[in-house]
Amino acid sequence: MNDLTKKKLDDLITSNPVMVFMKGDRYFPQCGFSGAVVQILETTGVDYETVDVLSDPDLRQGIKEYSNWPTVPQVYIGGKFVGGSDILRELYYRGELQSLLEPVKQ
Amino acid sequence: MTTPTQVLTALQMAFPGAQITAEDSACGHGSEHFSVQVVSPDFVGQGLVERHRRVYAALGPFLQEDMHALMIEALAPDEVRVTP
Repeated sequence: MNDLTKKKLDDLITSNPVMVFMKGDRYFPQCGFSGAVVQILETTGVDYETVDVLSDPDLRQGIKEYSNWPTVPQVYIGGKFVGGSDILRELYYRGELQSLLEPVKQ
Repeated sequence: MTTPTQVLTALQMAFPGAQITAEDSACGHGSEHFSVQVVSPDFVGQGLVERHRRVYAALGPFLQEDMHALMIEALAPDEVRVTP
């Protein structure tokens, strides 16, 4: 990953309380896992930002190295890596996602 | 082509003593979609990110090759529940 990509990722993650790296966007997710993340976040009512990694090969590869996580989607909350769609769903069922989101909600 | 048996064997080697299922969850469009569940006492007190990283590590070679999608459930024995 080059410095520019790393800086871009740093900026996205630190400036957005809930940051989603996904395939497609919230209106047209390009994969079921990305769609699931959007659906769960919509249920919580939180504001979130998304980036379509399909539109940027550097970001698509970069985010995997950055997070040490081999798949997309990836979710960051409050600057911290939370996981992919399976983890988000698990946290949601446990009621823990709601508590994670509490500090970043307006 | 990766088979559920190969996935199962790789997981069994990485998580001895765990209860493991590995299914092909493709919806008939020919790509390799897998759904795995690993229930292991090793996971007690371990965060979800760490658990999933261990599953990814065990399945690394398949992810590099032809696995297009992987659904993971990594649970401690007392967390198993009937999923809705």
